[in-house]
Amino acid sequence: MNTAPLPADRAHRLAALRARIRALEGRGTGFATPPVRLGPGLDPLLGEDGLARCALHELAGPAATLFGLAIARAALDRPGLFVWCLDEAGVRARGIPWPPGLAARGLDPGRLLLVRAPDAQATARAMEEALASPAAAVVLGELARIGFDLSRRLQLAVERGGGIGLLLRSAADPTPSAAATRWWAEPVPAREGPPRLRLELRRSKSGAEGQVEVRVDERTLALRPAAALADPEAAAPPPTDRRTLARG
Amino acid sequence: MNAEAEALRLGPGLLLTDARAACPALHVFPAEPEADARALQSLALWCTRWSPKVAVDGPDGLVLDVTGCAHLWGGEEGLLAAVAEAFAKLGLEPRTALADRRLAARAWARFGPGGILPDRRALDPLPVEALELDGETSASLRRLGLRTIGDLRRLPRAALARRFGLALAMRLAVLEGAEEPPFVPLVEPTRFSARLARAEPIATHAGIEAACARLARDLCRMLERAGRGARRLVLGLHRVDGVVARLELGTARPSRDPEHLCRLFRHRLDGLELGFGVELAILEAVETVECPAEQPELGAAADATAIALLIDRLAARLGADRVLRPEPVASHVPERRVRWCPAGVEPRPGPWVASRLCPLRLFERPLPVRALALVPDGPPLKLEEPIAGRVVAASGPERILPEWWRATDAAARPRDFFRVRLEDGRELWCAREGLWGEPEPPVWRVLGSFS
Repeated sequence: MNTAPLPADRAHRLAALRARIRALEGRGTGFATPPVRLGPGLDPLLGEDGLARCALHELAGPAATLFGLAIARAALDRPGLFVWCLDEAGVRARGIPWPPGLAARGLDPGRLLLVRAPDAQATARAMEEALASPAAAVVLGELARIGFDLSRRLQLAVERGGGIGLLLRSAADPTPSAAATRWWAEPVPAREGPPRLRLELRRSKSGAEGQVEVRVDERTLALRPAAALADPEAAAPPPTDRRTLARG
Repeated sequence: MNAEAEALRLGPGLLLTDARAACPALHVFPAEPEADARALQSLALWCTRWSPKVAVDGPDGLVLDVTGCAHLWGGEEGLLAAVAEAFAKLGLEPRTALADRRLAARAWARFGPGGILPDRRALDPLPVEALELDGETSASLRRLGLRTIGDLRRLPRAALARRFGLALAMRLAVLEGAEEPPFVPLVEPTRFSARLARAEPIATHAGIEAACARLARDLCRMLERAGRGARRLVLGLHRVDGVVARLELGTARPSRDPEHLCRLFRHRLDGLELGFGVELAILEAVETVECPAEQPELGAAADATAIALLIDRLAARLGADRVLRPEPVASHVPERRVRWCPAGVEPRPGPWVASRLCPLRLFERPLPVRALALVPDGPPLKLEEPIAGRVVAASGPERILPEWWRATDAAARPRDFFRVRLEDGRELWCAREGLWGEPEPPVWRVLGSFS
């Protein structure tokens, strides 16, 4: 057992104590799970700590799927399944995940497990089950509404499982939740170049807040600072020739 | 027909007025043959407590193959007594008979006194109808004065066969001990099955779970000895009131881990109605596969086990058709490029043909949209309804032709796909269906989304 002296400052001491308790309880591996590093694009917000594993993160906004997949891609650096839970209403409103599109962005569809639940309640239950399992490296669930109790249950489940939990919401929800962070992701209008996202960290347990603008690399889903040079693989500019227009 | 009805000489074929005259207090219900058949079926399942091989026999009978089962109830008398007692608890009075041939047992139950058939000669006084011949044959036998089975037995078999057909001769041969065709049991008996009977019925979910744990342990020990793992399991819960709940589930990987099996059933037990309690629980491995003993390993194997466990648990909760893994299909039509395989079926690996033009999500029902576009084949410049916005950038077109060799695609039109970016930053996958110059004007649809 680890009996090294505890670090002096409060936050690190708590983290070290928690890790010891986890080791005593026999869950986790005994050493701290490394966080998910989201790259230079988000470093101004998250710093060296990255996005914590064994935790639930809430993502809302019109570009939540893209941001969620970028996190998933980074978190899938270790073995395990990518479990995507959604219900029939979600399939109708936002579409079903499409493996060719995921494969094009470096997410291996062979690791994807899609849970297509009949309703939100079943989605939540499936999510809890998947989060609690050591087999899932990433669990992405789409739930429109979630109470504090449910978010707490999901948080406890992910602490048992050791993966990372991503909660996708289409609309912002001001109700409190047990999630470690809460994000708002929306696309930034841009005439050309790769998709740009404005990511706003609205709440986090560590207290960090703020917003950044990132470019999404279309082949790896890596998030790069938006200020960098234009991507060579830019989308074609819109046609400028004036030909006949027609409504169809 | 119960004893009271028999005493009043009520019976099938009686006119309702006559029946009312015999018994003024009679309650009348219309016959429901389908409901009766269902009830008989569930009664047959209930009877699996005595023998695994049970079948419904005609509209009003059950047949049990009790070969090798009777000793569990202290011999054949004991078995019949147990059957009578259990049925009496349900408020039923069946006519039971036990014989070495089904035909003989049916004859003894329906036309004889019932019970254990003492010897074959005992069937002699029974009427010829007991042979279950068609009405015409029975009637002509009677006309010739052949009223009982004994009468027929005394006649030369060849002459009977010539005069009344082979069926009669064969039935008589069966009564002499010839083989009968085997019957198809309602549920296939299994090699691996564990049972737990309780004199005191289990009425709580905690109790059922404990019983389930014990059954799983017994079953897994059996499977381990045989070197097999279960792929499909059935848990039969026999309630005191005669209802049998059959819970069936499958596993993603052959398993003989009692804890795992238990956990799979626990979800299914959640909402289960227990009534007055469960008196008998039977856990069977319906489908097993070779599963050599494996040493618990670190790394890949442990991951595979954890993955299988997770898939099983999700499938047990939601049903296997809701826990899916993608399999690539060699097709250009977007809607056909993915086959979602139910969990537990290993998807065939294959290359995913993909490009930047593939969206992240696909709408299962493409959304028709009004668009302003360049003629004849330019990208949309503006989407109007129901998704509105100016298009600031577009990539494409990517023309995808329908698969004309399929009947469903015979009338389909070619589609030009564009990835368009709207002024608010949203990116959509749109397609123009059809070409200008065709009698039908083209239609724009939104098929997917990139954010």
